Amino acid sequence: MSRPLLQVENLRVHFPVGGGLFSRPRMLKAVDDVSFQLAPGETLGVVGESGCGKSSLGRAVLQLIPPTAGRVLWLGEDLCRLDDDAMNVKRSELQLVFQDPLASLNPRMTVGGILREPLYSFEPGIARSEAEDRAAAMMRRVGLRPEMMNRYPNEFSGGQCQRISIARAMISRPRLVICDEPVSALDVSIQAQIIALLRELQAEYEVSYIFISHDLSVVRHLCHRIMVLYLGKLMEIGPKRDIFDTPRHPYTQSLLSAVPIPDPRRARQRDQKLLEGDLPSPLNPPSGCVFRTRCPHATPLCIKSAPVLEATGSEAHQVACHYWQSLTPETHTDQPTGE
Amino acid sequence: MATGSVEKRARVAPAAEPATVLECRDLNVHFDTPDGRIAAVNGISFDLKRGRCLGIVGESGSGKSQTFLGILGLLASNGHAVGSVKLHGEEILNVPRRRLDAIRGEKLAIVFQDSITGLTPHKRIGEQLSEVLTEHRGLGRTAARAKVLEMLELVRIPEAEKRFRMYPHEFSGGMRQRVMVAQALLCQPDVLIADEPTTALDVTVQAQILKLFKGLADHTNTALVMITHDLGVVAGLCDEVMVMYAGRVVEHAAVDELFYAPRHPYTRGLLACMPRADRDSEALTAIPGQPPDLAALPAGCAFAPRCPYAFERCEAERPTLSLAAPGHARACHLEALP
Repeated sequence: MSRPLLQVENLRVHFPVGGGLFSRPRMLKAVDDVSFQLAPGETLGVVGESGCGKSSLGRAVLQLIPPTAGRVLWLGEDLCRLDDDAMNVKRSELQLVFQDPLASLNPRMTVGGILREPLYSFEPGIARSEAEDRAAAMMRRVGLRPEMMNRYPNEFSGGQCQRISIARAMISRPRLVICDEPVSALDVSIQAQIIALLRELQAEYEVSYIFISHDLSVVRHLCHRIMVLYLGKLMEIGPKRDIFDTPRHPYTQSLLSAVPIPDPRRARQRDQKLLEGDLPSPLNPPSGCVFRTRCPHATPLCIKSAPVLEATGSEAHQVACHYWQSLTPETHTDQPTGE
Repeated sequence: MATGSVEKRARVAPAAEPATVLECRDLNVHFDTPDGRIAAVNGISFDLKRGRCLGIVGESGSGKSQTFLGILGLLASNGHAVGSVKLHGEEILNVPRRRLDAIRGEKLAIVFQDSITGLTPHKRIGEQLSEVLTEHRGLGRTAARAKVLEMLELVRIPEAEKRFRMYPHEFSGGMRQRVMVAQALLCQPDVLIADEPTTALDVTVQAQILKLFKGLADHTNTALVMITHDLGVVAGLCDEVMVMYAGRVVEHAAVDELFYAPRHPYTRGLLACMPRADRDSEALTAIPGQPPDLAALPAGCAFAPRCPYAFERCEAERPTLSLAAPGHARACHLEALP
């Protein structure tokens, strides 16, 4: 692997919740001791159910919420130690695309204004005509007509708004874009367009993505590596192939098993291993392994001690489970039937 | 209960066609707006059979929800439904409110996507569920309570006794959705309409709810309508599927037919643009363009502007739904897809 663009080390994001005059606030551990690296041009998928900390993780990397502990090394420099001004300079390289395309665009700015704003803040002194040219070029690049420059976000459809968000993120030529559920709010036919656009832009600009999603089908299509979170803890991380073909963690296995497959015959044959119950409260996570309350393989050991992340056969594929060696990894790749 | 019933149903195909419960003929729904009349649903016809599951697939604005809101008399105040909908032979479209109240909940029930607005926030779960039975079935409080508890257990609400006294906000999203299903099933309706019931849920919880639905048809003979944008949900659950686009049915077929031999370019496009978790897909074929604006539909086929196979006739003349093979209808001018 080439020199990592981003190294996240033992990142923690804890939020104090409640508490009053006589009671101490409780700590919600949104992200708890998460470490990973990201190479240039790579897409890392972050998956997990709601409340697993995937969005908090993305925001903490960008210092939009201050991490409680840990380091976020951007090309070797710790972003957590930068002051606001220094961080703002860095933001041209680290951008974000949100889930709700319309809500993330200023309704009172024209599309042209929205796209020019990053240029004015990151390249002070840029000539207006150059900013306009670059905004127009970016619009064209994401599949919008530059003639629509003077329109407002509400005049665009959801898919078009997401194109604008992507254009805004890309216009400062970032090296990392964190995409937080960027296609979840879109119709199926539009989803595929946006996914294709993200792939094209990656090939063109060599940008890295952290792709936060609950949709494993999209993640499989778009990501090189995948990280599985549960209640703020890293359960499993590895190359896409390892995660889908030999998932080691029981949680990863049940997540994959739960994804609907648009193939009736396969859906009927499938032996789904469904999880029982719901996510425990993140304010009161289970002792030991946080997944044990829903894990079909849990033993007293899992109540007592939290498993640490260890490498499986390949160094890149790591899993946090006491019993990963005795569990059979089940492939979730369809064996070709020679259609 | 529900466990293991899926396979049974797949293996033992019913010898005779089950009886028709709901018969919908030429249903139209339109809305009067300041900008003119919007035709949201046009000429929908289908039969719903006992114990079967019909999937309705479409994107936003396709009319999939409005079709059933129209049937249930739940349209917004500027909406009107025209056509014929018969429940066991009795016309129920636009019947007086009193009759509709008797039918809804007892014979036709609906589960919405948003489970928090579907439940009254200031009433305990047990109370609002029992109400269904005391209102519709005239049951006494004790009998209603017993039945509600039984139903909560059927949908696998743990510690039903304790939950009976809790308020909706004390439940998780998945649990609330199960309560909604329990509520819909209390009177053993003939038809259960589920409108995107799992869209707001996490994938593991979605799988639990879908499994619950799968078990239903077997155990209760309830006919199920699953309205969804997700073809994956349909594949594992439904017997037949209607695909809607711009307020019309563009294809209607048995589930295997639809997935393995789609005959409408839109259905084929939807299948080709979905990434799959069970295989690698190098490139997805996106459907170009935007879903149409219902206020400005083209004269011909609404899908023509996005269709790779469109020719002159498609722009001039709207195709009607016609049989391409036994039990397989599609609305397309092409004899067969290239």
